[in-house]
Amino acid sequence: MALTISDIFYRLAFVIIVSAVIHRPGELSVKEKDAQFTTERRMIMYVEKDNGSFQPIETGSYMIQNYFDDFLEKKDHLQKSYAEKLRKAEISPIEYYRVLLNMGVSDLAGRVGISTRKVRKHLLPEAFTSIPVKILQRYAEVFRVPLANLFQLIENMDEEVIQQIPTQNPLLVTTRIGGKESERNDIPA
Amino acid sequence: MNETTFQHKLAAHCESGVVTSLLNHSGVDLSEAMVFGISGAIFFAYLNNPMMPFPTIALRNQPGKIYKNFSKFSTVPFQSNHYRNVEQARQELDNLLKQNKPVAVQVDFFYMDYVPEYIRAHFNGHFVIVVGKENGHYIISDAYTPVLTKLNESTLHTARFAKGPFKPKGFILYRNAVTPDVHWEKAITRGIKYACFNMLSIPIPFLGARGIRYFAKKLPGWPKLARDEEHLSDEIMMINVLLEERGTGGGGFRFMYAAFLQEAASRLNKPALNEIAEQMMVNGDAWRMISIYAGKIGRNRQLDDAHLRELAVMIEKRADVEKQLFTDLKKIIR
Repeated sequence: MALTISDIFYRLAFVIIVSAVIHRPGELSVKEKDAQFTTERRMIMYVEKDNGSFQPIETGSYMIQNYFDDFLEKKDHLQKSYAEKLRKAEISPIEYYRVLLNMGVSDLAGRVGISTRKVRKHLLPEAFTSIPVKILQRYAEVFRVPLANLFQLIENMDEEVIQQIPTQNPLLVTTRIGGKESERNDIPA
Repeated sequence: MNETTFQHKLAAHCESGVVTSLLNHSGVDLSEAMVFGISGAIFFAYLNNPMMPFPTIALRNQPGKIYKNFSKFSTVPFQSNHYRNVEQARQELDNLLKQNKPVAVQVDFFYMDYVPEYIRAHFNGHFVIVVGKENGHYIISDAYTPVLTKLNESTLHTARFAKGPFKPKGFILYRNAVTPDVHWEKAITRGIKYACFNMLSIPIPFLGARGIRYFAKKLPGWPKLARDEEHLSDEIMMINVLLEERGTGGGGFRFMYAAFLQEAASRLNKPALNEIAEQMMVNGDAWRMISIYAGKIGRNRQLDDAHLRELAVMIEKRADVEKQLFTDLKKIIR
């Protein structure tokens, strides 16, 4: 594609303007002093030290420091809107968990060990009722939820401690409401 | 195993961090940037296939290539194995731990219960080092956590035998042998040549420097693929996460690669590599500007065609720059 002089001028001007507008000191830059974030999550970032060498430093997350509230808000909206679709029987619980876990259909099929075509079918509420329990169990394992959660939504209105404790019966889970957070059992996968 | 003998360190990336830690533990003093550079891991790919719920980008080559290429190019031996049988995999891991050997394992990141829930996702290409076992828990050195952590025994084995793309099949990696005399200069040269080939010569439009241009071309079409505005915002902000947060060391691995080139310049006594290192750092900074811009327009929901095209222009510029950078690098290293 041939670029005209005006194209080149426009692109150069754009890059210069963007550099000036968004690359403010103290935000996120290659210099060590500009890459300090104080989030709980720690990570390694490579920066230019004062002596000109390129070295790793431990810092926090720029995204969490600046955009975490937005991330949580979107996640909450997604959960609520898909829970509503589930209640209205517009989608199956398989689709609900697939979307919340941001999984591709083929990825899910590979993990459950069935064909992509079958998974596509299972995303629809009318096909959900005919899925064998054995396959549902495999879906539940991939989503890391008790099998029972494919048939129910748990809403925690009073912010109680809710534990779902596996039993020796693979189809059964004990749901315990109340108690203290510190008494929560370690639930293996 | 007494985990105090193992020195846990945060690292920019899980696989290069794991290889570096295993090398350091066995007495080979090498930085993570060198491991990353020697393995020729720097890359770019625009990925859009049915495995993924939405198009995404990769800034390094595929999981498992770092240790393989590092071992191949440097001739430093590693012991590795895959398993079909979970019980056999469990026993061999436990036996190695009894011999006081730190063992790297490949896992599905979704089962790493010690990381916050919001960052857990099914991804089979995560690597951690198991350094001990006590009371039904393995002691884990994860490059993304500041201290050693614990993981339930059965959870680890579930994670080691997860299905799906890049399935780990119980993969383990450890070091036994004494390190031979390594010709680091030769290893560095091979790593750089490999990276240059991947960035410049793969004749597939979505890989290497061509892939960056392909990404720029496809980006304005993303609104058609998204469920709604919030989904699009999430995916645009994911560009920031992929470039800066998901174990890249910042600037989509470009800063770490610049650090490698700087170190390579002195080891190979090629001052010209220093200039490329500086240009790579500037390039990384430009990728960081892209990530900041993506974060901002995502947050402010400025997801109209004009803003996406602006972002695409910034990305397209990186294609030109990286093509030139790796061409120059190839000439220097020839």
